[in-house]
Amino acid sequence: MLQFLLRKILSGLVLTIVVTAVTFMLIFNNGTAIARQVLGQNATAEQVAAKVQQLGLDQPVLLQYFKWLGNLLQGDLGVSYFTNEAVTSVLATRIPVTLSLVLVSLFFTMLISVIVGVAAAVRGGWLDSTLQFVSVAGAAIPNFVIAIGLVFMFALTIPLFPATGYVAFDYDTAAWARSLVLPVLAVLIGAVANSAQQFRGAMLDVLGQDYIRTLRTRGIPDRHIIFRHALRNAASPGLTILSLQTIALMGGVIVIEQVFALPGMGVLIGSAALQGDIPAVMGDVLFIVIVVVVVNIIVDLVNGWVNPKARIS
Amino acid sequence: MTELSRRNFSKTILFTGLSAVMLSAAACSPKDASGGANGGASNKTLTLAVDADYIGFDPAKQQSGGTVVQIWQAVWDTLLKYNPDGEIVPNLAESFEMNDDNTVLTMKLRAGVKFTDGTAVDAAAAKASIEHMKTGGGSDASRVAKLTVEAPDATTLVLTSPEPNGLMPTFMCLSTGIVASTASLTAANRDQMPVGSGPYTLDAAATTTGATYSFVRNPNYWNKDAFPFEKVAFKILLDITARVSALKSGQVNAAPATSQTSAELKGSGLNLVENKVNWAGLFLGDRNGKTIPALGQVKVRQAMNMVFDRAGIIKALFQGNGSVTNQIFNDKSEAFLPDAINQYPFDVEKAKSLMAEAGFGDGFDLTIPSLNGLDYANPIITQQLGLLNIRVTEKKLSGGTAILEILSGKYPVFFFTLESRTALWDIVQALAPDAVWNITKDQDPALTPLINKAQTLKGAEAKANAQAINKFLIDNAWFSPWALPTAFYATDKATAASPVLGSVVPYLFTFTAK
Amino acid sequence: MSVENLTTPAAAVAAEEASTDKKSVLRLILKTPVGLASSIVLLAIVIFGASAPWLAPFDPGFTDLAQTNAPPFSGSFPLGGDASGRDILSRLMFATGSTLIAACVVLVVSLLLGASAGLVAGYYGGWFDSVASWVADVILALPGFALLIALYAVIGPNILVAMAVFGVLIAPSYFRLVRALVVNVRNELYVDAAKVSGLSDFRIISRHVLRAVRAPIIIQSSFVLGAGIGIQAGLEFLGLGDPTRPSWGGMLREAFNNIYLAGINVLWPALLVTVTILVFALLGNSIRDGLHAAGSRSHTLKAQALHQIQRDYTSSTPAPSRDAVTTAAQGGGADPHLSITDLVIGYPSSATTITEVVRGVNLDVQRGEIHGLVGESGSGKSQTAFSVLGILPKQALVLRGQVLYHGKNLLTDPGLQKSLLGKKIGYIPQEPMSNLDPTFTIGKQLVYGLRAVKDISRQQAKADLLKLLARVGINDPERTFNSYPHQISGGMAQRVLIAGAIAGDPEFIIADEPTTALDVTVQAEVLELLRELQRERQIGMILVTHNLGVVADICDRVSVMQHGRIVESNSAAELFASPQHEYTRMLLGATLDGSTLRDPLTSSPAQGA
Repeated sequence: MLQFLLRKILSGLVLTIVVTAVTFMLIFNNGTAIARQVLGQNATAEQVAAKVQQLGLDQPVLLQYFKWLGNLLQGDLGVSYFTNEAVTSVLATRIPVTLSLVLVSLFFTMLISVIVGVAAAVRGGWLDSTLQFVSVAGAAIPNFVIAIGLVFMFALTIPLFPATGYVAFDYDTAAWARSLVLPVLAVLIGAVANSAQQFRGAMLDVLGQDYIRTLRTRGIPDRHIIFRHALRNAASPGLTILSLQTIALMGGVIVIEQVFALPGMGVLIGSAALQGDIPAVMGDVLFIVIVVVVVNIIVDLVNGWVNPKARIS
Repeated sequence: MTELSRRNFSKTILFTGLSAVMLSAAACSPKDASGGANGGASNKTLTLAVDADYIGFDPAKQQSGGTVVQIWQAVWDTLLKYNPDGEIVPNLAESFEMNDDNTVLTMKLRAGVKFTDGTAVDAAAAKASIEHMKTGGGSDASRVAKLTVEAPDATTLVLTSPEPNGLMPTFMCLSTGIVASTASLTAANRDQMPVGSGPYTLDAAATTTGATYSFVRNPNYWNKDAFPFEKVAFKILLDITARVSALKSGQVNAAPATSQTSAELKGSGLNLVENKVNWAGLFLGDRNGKTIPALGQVKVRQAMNMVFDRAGIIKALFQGNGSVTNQIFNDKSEAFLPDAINQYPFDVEKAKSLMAEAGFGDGFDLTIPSLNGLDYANPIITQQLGLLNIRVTEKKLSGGTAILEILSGKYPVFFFTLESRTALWDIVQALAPDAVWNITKDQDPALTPLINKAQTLKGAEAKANAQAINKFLIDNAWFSPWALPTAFYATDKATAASPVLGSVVPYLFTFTAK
Repeated sequence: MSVENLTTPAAAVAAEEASTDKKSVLRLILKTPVGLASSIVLLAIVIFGASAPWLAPFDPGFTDLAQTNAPPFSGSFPLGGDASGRDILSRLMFATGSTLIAACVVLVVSLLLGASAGLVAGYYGGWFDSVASWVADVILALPGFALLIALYAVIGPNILVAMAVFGVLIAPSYFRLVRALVVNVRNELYVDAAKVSGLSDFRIISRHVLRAVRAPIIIQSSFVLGAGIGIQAGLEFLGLGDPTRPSWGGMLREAFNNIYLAGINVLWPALLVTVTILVFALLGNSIRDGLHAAGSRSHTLKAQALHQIQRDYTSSTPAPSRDAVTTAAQGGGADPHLSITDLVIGYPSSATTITEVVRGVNLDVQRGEIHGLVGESGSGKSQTAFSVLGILPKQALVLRGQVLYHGKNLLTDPGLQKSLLGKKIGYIPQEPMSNLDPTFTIGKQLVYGLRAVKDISRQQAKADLLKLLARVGINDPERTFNSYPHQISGGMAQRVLIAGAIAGDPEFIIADEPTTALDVTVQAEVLELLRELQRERQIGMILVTHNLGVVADICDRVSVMQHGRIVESNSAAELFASPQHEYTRMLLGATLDGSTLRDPLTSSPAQGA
């Protein structure tokens, strides 16, 4: 078990390094332009050159990357080129916003997908046909289009929820929840459409297995078969669905944050990338990759717990 | 029952795990003190929305324009103060005097004022602040770059400019006039922790960098009555829809609005503070025709003035909010020439013949930049200039370098909205050979002496000189201004504020509770 | 649009199942209403975009200040004017073309990259396969959208390059798909290729692979196109597109920023984006469903047809089973334990017709009798057995007949039938490994099963089951009890299943080819076990099998089924001694009786099985 965990962590680390290295080298831009940006339009050429040296932008890219990596291991993500604020503290203000959105969305996505998927698989009929249709529609419409529609509705017509903006969790929990309703809804519609459909498929696969039939002949009541046996077996593919959904979500929330003016990581990566604030971009990418890696590890662990065969492989 | 609990068990794990993560995420989320804003401003807290990112509290990095001035006005005093009508009055300096040729500004500081760290606000501190601004790498450094600062005694501050500089007092009202505690100028945390003598101090616990900046009253402030609110908080809301939402739901008391949202806000019962701050239109650079020969021809530039339907533009692009102009000076400026407004009527045929007369009937190629937030005018520019056979291509500029690229002179023709304050201010920032907004650094032997005189003339002579400069600009079509669009600032019913000459937002000291 | 979900196992498997050639794919699309409608809409969109240079009412950059934010149908702009005074309709038309082209760029790049890599990896395997698979996994783990934004700093507002990069990010989906298919084909043909000399592997494989891969790739492609459009719109909405050209996402962005003045302008680009992506998804789905249906043997009857057919059957009289030879009256007992009378079971063969698989079966089983049900595959023997248990597939239609258990008809009383399962009637399945729940230990499953029919504590159940496991010949019952199904051998698994079947003390057992999946050496042991149990507990049994050796071994009576009918029914001894029916005689003749026996196995006897 420990070996299993260690192996997963190791591969996660490798992934993190690969992704951050690739990103770093790709977004590396003209060092002089960056320095000039930081200093402002009235800087002289000497000041710019000095800044380039100060920020270490004149060194080879690979070397810069390793320096960044080394600092990272000491808990230092560098300092924003523009505000001189430590990237870690910038992230600290943004991460809770994005995490709120992602985690709440994930939670409800899984909850609703499982319920709907199981119901559609077990009962079939109109519920199943409806799900089929809704899933195609929901998965097709880009979530930010849905988001725009929601803003349209609530900004222009129904003043039920604040159309945009974010309130921190521990300042006013009720307002925090209200400010998340619309963004989560926008994410949820597409995500549930997708996941419910896939979970239904996974459930159907399981229900078609021989052992389900055999268990019925043992006299075990249907509800035990569904909730104890079928669900347990569908958990494995279900977890795969969950991890894929998380990856999709990390990308999806970027536009959602823009639409709803949530001051999260998504908005940060956009503006940081445009400005060339490399430390902030790297911090952002690092965060995203870590979330993906952590989710994958958790999924693998839970999968191992649920599915005994997976522990061996 | 025990069998079922197994499935519940796994679900419970998941739920607990998620909740744990959520809770921990929430636990490390800092406070957001926007309290008290609901239901209108009490005398207690004023919450203002800001429409741009704030660069931090290093005094050298502060800016003089835009909405962010409200933030630093909370924590620092300036040496002199700029009244809403543009008059310069004492502030930290209780008196000031310019010498005859506007090369020396002498200020006498108020006695007995202290910074919140207990040190005295004296001439030495003021000198240190200005020196810091000169070398601190901020965008306003150039304004004081050439000045020498002396503090002959504890309450006297002397600024000397090598050339006549009539704007020195104005500069002392803006970010260049900020006086911060000397220790804070070099402190390692100066971006996070400002130390000033201003009406409020930063409430770090309630501040989230990049999102909310909270201030509480400075109990020892020397001019308490000017600031009625106990607390002031600023929320960074870059998106207009977010600001409208925040205004409507009472999350903020006031916010910068836009022409497009003005009708909506008014309809929701909010007040609109209106101010004509900017002129909007085309910069016509390269007036000496160095890179684009056509632009060196007066008639070409005049044609580029006559091919735009200014009235139509105001109606369409600014929803009718604003007034037509062909001048870069606002309509309150002493340089303004109301009778010359219609010197370039909308006449496409005339424009075409002017082009032909100049020898450019076949037009020429032109690349204009496309900037976020300013690209709404590019379609009409492309189309109208196209009528003169000017083949326009757009180049998208983005990010922090966009403005820099424009200022470098790469794109001699571009659409912009630039603030207009006093005549001297506008001359210095857009016309002087080394002016920031004279992007192609053009000069004209007829114009230069007028510009030089402007620095020293006073009174009626200054006005006549300014008008002469304006006339030159109009006759020689150095620009193609279209409109003075109205800038909107919205406040809720319980809050009032006054517009300030040359500023898109009311200054902090103009806010009161109704 | 969650792109990453294009690569789920389910999607790949479903696509793998399908393999036909291109012509019928097209026909499939056009046959279903959804497919037809989607194709028409897609065509309309393509025409909408392609015809822009000629049919668009205005130039996309044409500005009429007076029509800024004009509402639809108010002026000369059909759909109104945008915030700069341009015609929305014309801009949409011009935007369509460039959007579709950019989506094609995604498709081409990802297809070429992914499919070719998949082909090489699947065919050659080896280090390339490992490396490519790892790279594919890494790419899939990347948050693609975030990366595209981060790369904007390098790419700039060049949507075609961005789409090409996106194509690279999507390529792993094709890679996995093609690789899996190629591996399958390679495994299949490996044997054939060895046989056929002279023809190069490569030519065979490329021909076969292309055929197998075509349909799944088409399905995948329609989803990729949809994803490309979604991602494109997203990037443009964020302002990362080319501002000089109209684009759907860009128009959405402008309209959104202008939402208070002319909110309706959001509708048109949103509609176009949504409909286009939807159409691609529906097309992909309809192809996939069409292939699935074409390949599968399951149909659904229309309700009307179903009622008609049911009425026909209940009103008609049972057809006499010709050539049926039944000797010594069904079992010779007055009160048969189980009595099947005139059972007819059918399956839909189309939307309006059915095919019978069981055509009027009559069968009696006495208490304590082992009744063999023999026949070839497809004779309907398993179906007959399942009908007793009530575990026929959903599509099965029981059209006529009765299944009397102690005189009560189970077919008309499903509640009774269900209550008998596990308690009075047990089931031993054919394939041991797939009939155990892999996620629970043997012990847990058995305990659940037992406690479902007996009200005893867990400890008691465990004790009873351990005894039972020992009884069915498992050497270390405790260890097996705590093992997972994948940790035990086939023979042990079958014994476990037998234990599970008899744990509830049933009176009757349906055994469906219980030894077919076992090694020959184990078969005999299991049969011996069954015989002992049957004798001990006086259990009646229907033993379904195609193996006459098994019948000879333990059956008391035998019924022979052919084409859904029982053609001969007799005591085992008599049947073997003097088979009456032609078919029976043919079956008996086909056994290896009389031929030389194989040498006894020299391998060590199986452990504990």
